Amino acid sequence: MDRTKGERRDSIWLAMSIRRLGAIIRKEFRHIRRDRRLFFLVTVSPAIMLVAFAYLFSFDTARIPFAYYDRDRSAESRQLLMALATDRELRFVGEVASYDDLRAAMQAGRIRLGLVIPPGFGADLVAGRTTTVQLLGDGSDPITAAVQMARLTGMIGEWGQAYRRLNPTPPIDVRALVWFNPFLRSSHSMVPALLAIVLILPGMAVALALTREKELGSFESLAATPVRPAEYILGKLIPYLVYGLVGAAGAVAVALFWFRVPLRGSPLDLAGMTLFYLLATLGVITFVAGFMATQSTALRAVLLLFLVPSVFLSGILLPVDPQTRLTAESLPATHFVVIARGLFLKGQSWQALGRPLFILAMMALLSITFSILTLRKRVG
Amino acid sequence: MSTLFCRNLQRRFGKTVAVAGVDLDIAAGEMYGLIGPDGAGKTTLLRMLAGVLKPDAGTIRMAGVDVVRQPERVRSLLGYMPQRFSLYADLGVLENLLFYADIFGVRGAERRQRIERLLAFARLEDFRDRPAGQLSGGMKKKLALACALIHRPRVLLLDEPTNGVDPISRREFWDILADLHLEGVTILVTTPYMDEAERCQRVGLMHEGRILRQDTPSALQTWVPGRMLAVYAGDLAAIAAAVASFPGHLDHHTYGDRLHVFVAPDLTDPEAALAEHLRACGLSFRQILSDTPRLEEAFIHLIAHREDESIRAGARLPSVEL
Ligand SMILES: Nc1ncnc2c1ncn2[C@@H]1O[C@H](COP(=O)(O)OP(=O)(O)O)[C@@H](O)[C@H]1O
Ligand SMILES: [Mg+2]
Repeated sequence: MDRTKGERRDSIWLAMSIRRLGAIIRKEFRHIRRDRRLFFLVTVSPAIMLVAFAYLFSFDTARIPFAYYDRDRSAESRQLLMALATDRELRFVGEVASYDDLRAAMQAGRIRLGLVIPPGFGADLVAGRTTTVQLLGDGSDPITAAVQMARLTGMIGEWGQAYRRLNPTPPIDVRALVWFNPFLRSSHSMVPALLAIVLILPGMAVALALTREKELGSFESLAATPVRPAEYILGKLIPYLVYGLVGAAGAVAVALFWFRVPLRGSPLDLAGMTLFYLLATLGVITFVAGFMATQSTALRAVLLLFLVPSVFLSGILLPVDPQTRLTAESLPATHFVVIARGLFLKGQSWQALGRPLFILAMMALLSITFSILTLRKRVG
Repeated sequence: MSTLFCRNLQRRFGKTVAVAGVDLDIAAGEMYGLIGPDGAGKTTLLRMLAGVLKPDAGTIRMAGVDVVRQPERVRSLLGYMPQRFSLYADLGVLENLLFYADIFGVRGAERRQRIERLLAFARLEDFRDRPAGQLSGGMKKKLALACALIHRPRVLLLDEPTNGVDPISRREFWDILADLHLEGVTILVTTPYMDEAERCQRVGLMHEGRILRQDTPSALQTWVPGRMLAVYAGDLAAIAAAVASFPGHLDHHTYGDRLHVFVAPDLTDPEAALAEHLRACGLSFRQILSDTPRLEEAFIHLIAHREDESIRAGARLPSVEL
């Protein structure tokens, strides 16, 4: 170990030549362009994986059939029906004339949800009295039932707010109130968060690129040249960052135009923060890949250390568990989930997202620095 | 002072001792050939000399620079061609050359001139745009050499540069090395082929991590004891069994279509005596000739001798796979 000192004397760590950096970058761009699978992995697969994951993890892809039992038949009850019948996630099957019809329809599987409006509903609303409605769900599909009932509870409650000025207490007896994603569309909160997952793919590609060079032996030739660790690491990262941004743009386009998730924050903020996230994932994965000798171990490391924990721990499916908080916080994805949801759903500005942004920036800076410092121009 | 120098160089991988204390002194402009069977430690030695593998112990100096401590200081004067194909298979011939030119800081008109010269030198002018991965074995090796030469290194380390190359390309390759030698480049080349080592000024025989002997190719041949007779026959196995009982027999092994028999130097007319012996055993043969041992023999003898001091007493040589 005493020799590391001697090696430092070469002071190769900070020294950089733009010419050599440029040579590595050009070479790396060529590798990506000429390897169709690699090109696909970095630029196209994030968007495709986003679609696949969104359908895998969301429960609201098919429209839910529902029926309406209106015992009031007032102007107000018809307005509520209109509001529900035009909802994008519900399919209005028809009206029924009795509880028995409602039960029969649900038993036959023709409907999954039913809403019963009591007599006097409209009169109570107008008079400012609190009124109740009955929501029936098909318990044979508990997840859909729970999700949709919670969502409808929120929707009806919000619809009832129009009558609020007449009454200080909520006009319709629904207590659930959900912030930011009032219609509880799981795709709306899921898709932006899943961006954090699919943008690990460029990182996976850089891990493969780094280990392939060792595996195929070209690193041995390169190690015997005057190339500097900083040139090598940055020369690898920059092309993957550029193509990674292309991949990110594709995935964001899918979120906006396929899943129709509204982007309430600034697109510029989204671009900037995505850049930081890509830098952090590329950096951390580069650091880890530096200790791997083969593409297969690098691939496994990315899957087991980043992709899988990011899916389950970063707060995409469930809120971050206090027990796994530390692990979650050490994953760049956890911070980007906060950022993506903040930008898409809450319309937050970059000032409000200072903490996760700062953490990502630090992760990027430290991981890239350590990747450079730990790179050995050695084989074996 | 020698251009390439190392003392007591050692490296192990787990329990395997790959290089077990090697000393080398290679003079400026010398062409030094390192021969030895697979696993002898040639690649490990070259990697350490090239500054891409850390020795466990020992010192290396290249043109006066301590390679172990300051490998970066020798990069620009060293050309290293690893044993494995180590260029970028998806980049074209010209792209690979341009890449290494940029990495070594060769630019402008000089870059263009050198690349043209090297392309001509390696006879790759017509393959400029062909991806390196699609070149023949010989062309790959020549491109790798061209890339290693792009910055006009003073020292060249070549690890089995002609392995897996057809005989014509091998000859071409060695003609290129001869030119470089004339230009004054110091060359250390490893090879499993004895006939190639014979083209070097000095040859080192490496086995089990050590250099057993080093000398000029012609001097190495004189280390073989006794005289060598070549027996040409159809059934070499039967002849081999019979020569072991020949008085004065030291050693023998098959070499292509003949059997090489080493006999004590004090025998008078050994050809006739051996012929007599074989006839007495009831064996027929075409011819027995006195011959000069080639490097193979010298090499096998040295290894066997090291492993088994009783060789001189007439024990059979272990076979060595080359
Ligand atoms: N990176 C390595 N890891 C483990 N063992 C190695 C490594 N490199 C070489 N060896 C071992 O060291 C010995 C010498 O190998 P090498 O230097 O490749 O010999 P040669 O080039 O003469 O064939 C062999 O036994 C080989 O298996
Ligand atoms: Mg070797």
